[in-house]
Amino acid sequence: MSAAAASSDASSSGSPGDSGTEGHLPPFVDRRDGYASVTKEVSDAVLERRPGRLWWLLLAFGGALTLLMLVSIAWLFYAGVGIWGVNTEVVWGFAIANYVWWIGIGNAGTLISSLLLLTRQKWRSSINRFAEAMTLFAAAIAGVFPIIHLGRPYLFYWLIPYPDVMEAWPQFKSPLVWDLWAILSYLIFSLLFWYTGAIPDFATLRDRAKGRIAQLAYGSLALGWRGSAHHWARYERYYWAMAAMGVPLVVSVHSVVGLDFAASLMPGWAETVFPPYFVVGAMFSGFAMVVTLAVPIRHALGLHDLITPRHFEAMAKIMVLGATVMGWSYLIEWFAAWYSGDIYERGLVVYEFVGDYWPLYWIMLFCNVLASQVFWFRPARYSIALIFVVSILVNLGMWLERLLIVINTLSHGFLPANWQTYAPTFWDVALLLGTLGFFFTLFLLLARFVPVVSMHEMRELVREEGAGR
Amino acid sequence: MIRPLTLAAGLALLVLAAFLDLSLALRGLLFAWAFCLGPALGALALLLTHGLTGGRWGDALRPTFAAFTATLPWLALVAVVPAFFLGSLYGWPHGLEERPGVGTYWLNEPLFLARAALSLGFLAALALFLPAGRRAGVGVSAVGLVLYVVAVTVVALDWLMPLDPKWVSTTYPALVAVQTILEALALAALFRAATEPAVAEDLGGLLLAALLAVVYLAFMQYLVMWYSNLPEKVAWYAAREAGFWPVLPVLAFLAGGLVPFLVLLPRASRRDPGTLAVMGGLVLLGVLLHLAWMVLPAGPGGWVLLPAAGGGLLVLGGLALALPTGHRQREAKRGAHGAHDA
Repeated sequence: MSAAAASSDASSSGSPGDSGTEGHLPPFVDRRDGYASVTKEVSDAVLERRPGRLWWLLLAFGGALTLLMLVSIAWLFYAGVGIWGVNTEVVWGFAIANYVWWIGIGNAGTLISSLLLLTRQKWRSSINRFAEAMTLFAAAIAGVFPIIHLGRPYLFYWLIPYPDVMEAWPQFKSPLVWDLWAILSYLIFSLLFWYTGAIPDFATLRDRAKGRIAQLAYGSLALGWRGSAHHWARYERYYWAMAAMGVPLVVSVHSVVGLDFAASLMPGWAETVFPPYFVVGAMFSGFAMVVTLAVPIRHALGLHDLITPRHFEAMAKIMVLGATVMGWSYLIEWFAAWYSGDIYERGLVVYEFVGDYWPLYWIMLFCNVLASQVFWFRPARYSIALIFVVSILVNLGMWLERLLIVINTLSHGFLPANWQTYAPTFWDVALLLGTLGFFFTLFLLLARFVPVVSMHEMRELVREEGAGR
Repeated sequence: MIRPLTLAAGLALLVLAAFLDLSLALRGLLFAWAFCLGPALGALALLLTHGLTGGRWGDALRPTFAAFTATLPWLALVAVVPAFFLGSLYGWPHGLEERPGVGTYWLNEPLFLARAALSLGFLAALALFLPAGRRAGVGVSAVGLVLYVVAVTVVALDWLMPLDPKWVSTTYPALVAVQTILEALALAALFRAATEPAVAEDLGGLLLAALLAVVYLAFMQYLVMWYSNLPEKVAWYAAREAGFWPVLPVLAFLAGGLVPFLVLLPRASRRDPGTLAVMGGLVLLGVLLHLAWMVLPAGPGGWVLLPAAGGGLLVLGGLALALPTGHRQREAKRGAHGAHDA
């Protein structure tokens, strides 16, 4: 830890409660920018610039992976879960690990966006729009996994309570049913939250679009927004209320995911810390994904004036906070296993470190805890390349963590005679890569048709930072 | 000023309780100590957090929080009393037989005392050296907060969790830590530390957030243990189901959780220091009841707990209240002199 490096910005006087600027630190927006240049920079990326060859190439790549996803799912439906690496002991494999990873990324967008709004962190304006879109896509992808991991996925609607002649009723004590409600409510909420935030921007695009089709399309999405003071007053109150509802909702969704594990008797899973720990993990991995996406988006769309080094500095600080909390959680987990005196709990921790999957566990610890510690040093927080690399490591580490939570416990249960290891098959990997490609494709389309940065919030920021001068 | 009569009455109750049943008296005193330590620990976390994030709430509330933390060194010294009777308090080595190594490497008197000296000593030093007059630096706050979390975790794991010898809950340290933050915020609200409506709104918002966090953690702990229904885990709740104990969490939830939550939801009531003070009082009562439920029913019960807890609260609460008054007065005097000189 560098006290010297950290104390160099100790004199910063900024506070989220006032203007959002910090003494000698560079600003979040270039104050020479006016409203017009912000609007132009963002909307031109959608309306004026034609997609280049690179965009088409990337879309083809993403499309091919999306096809792989569809083929994997089709083959799964035809042949059954036997095509995966799951066995009689490790009944959850990639599917559930992927589910938790995607829903974690999906939780972060809304959590970041609404939490930063509620705590008046002005720098959110540049990243909240695509963080929310990320949420939407990731949550939708996540929702697919619990359904396809069912033995008979076409009967998934049995989870929904509906009146039928057989009087079959879902088991409301099952976390699987809680999952269904949590994900469904969350998807609806994320869509509304993202869409509400984009309405004034759709109106801007409507007014600037030249083609008739674009005018009609953006005009319909803008819902007749005129930008009157009346509209803005209503809008602000509504958006704020949604953000306030969003935080508890996000926390509840990932708590339910944590309970999928905690509501069991397996060693390492029946932990009371799992619900809050999964929420923190989601925020951590989601933040890393936001960084991973922000770097190429900034570069490709030329948004250097809007997503500044200050944004990356702020995100690096959150990553080091997250990594430290994760490290603390792991310590508590190991300590509690030892302290309980339970041979299964203790055995599992030893197995994590030296058992069948030990290299993965050590890599995970490096990625999740150690890698981000570099951000204690100020120069590291201003190196976008380094932040990008660490964010990818964190994404990898968090995926490994979810995989290891699943396979370590299931490979090392109560009966030594039943211990079995897990190895993924081609179709496990294909589905993971396929969903990544699908996510990538959706993002490419988003960047093409929707402003990736919130124009109206950036204009507000320009006014406030300008006025603060 | 602490009233000598209060102090004498509290001490008399404690001595009487100790004479009747030392183990129960110590548990009552431990509860009172944990409750009185809460605002100091919570305020320390809030000051360090403000050092990192800034914000008008911290600038306005710093004198109050600094006054709370000023009690920490004194309250840490009080830990010397139960430290002399660790065997009576926790009943070691009973309960450790089935947990190889735990008695040797963790739950024994020398190691316990070493950890207590380190963790409480560090927290007291942090409280003493953190600047009271200005916002702490970012570097000091960041490093301080990391070490703070470790120290508070050790305090929760050492002093409170082993009261039920076989029980482990991984979320328990977080629950204890967040509850101290809630206590500090509630006490600040009760003392009307925020006079401006905008600051009151911030304080109200933080109070709501901390309240939700405590209720969330407590409920998740319960839900997971209820769901798995493992004997050694549910035993903690089973011990708290006997007699009148179940009344405490219900009362704590209704009076200290639900009512303040509903009242503080509208923005107007968060901006009113008067309403905020009443709600702060209710939340504080809720924390008191919840903590009593967490600590007192551990192990054999008896009516002696009542005078012990009451006596402990009178003595330590009286001391804690007396200390910040003096501290605040000095602070205010310095501020007045400064203004006069200018």
